Amino acid sequence: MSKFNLNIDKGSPTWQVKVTGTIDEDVDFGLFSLEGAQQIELLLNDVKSINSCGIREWIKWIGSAGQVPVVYHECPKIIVDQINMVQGFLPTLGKVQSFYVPFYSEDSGNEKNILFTNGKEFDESGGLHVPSIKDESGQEMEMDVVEAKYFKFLKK
Amino acid sequence: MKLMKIALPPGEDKIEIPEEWRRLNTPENLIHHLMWKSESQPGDICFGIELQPADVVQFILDHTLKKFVQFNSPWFKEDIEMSLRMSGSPTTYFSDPVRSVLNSSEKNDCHRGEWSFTDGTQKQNILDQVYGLLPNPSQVLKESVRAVFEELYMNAILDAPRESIRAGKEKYGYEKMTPAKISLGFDDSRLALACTDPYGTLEIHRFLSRMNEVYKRGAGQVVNLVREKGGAGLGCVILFEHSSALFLGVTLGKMTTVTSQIPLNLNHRQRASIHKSLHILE
Repeated sequence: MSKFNLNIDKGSPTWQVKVTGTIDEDVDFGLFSLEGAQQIELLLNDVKSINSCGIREWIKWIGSAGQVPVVYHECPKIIVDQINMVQGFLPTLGKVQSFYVPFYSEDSGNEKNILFTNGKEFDESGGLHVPSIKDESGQEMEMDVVEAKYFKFLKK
Repeated sequence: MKLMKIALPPGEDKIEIPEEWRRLNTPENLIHHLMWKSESQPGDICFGIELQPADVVQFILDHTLKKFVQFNSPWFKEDIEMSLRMSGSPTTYFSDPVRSVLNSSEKNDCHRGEWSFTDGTQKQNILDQVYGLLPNPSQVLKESVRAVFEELYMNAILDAPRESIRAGKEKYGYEKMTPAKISLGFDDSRLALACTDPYGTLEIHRFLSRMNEVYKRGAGQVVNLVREKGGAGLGCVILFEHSSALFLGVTLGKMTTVTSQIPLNLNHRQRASIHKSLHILE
């Protein structure tokens, strides 16, 4: 069973790219050329992990698209962490349209990942509109991130 | 006996021992008590107060330290005891890193599993087994365990053999060598994940210098985009960021053992407030 999968839909000038699984030293992005795309939309919610090799290969791959707009959708926390930590992980003309934020309940220990979407839970200027999230017993959950660090990419 | 160096955050020049430490076991009393009891020399242990990871690395490099323990770590006492044990008997760490880090006893054995490997085909299977043993496997814990596992594993199968060949020491991969090994253990509050490879190519000063570079210049500026295979130069920071304490051990030309101590039962924000320790055994 493959641990990595990438699918590119080139049906329009805006290519839809879905990335699934583990991005590590075994991934060969050379099989998935981005040359010729006029805009790229990446769906990342099924990325399970990425190691340092994967980070490098990702930067090279996404950079090979050239100077085209790139939009990241449904970024899991592990991707957000790389966007914040590694300059170039989100390319110069890239933006994040949606990403997940972990929430935690002190009372129940429940964890939830809540999708923040541009124009709803955050805006282009970096403003946040944090929703009220409750656990299974109705208790309020809190964002389980260091806000200054996790939302740093929104300020750029 | 003397209290060794104390590292303060940048910009501060006054030591202020927290009140809770004064009322209970103050750092000075605790350190003197432990050092007096121990038969080993204190060595060059440095005690930090609320230093960020980048500052820990910088301080260790600036003062050529082997052990850096932070006062406000929940495992401050355990960290010092472990430092003294390892100073007195470093071979114990290399022969059994997980039990050594967790101070496992016969009565309370913290060791949970051990897996040998020689290439990447075994990685997912071993990771699945590690996951299966985790206590209260929250998303937070699994994320850190996976991140540490990935970096340790990749380093053992790619970077360590490559460095060995580059140094002209070995011409063979794992088909000719003792397999690498991942081991796992945990107690009530800490998990230890260790990886041992039979190459012993870890250059600790270079490792720390790399971390320092990443912290100072930013990961994006220093990521190695040229190398075709092997590390990108970021794994060292990824390891430290996910650990509450990191242990770097090497017997040059023979063995490298790196152990990450990961906190249990904490969420992301609680973890972020823990100030990290770092230990070097050469």
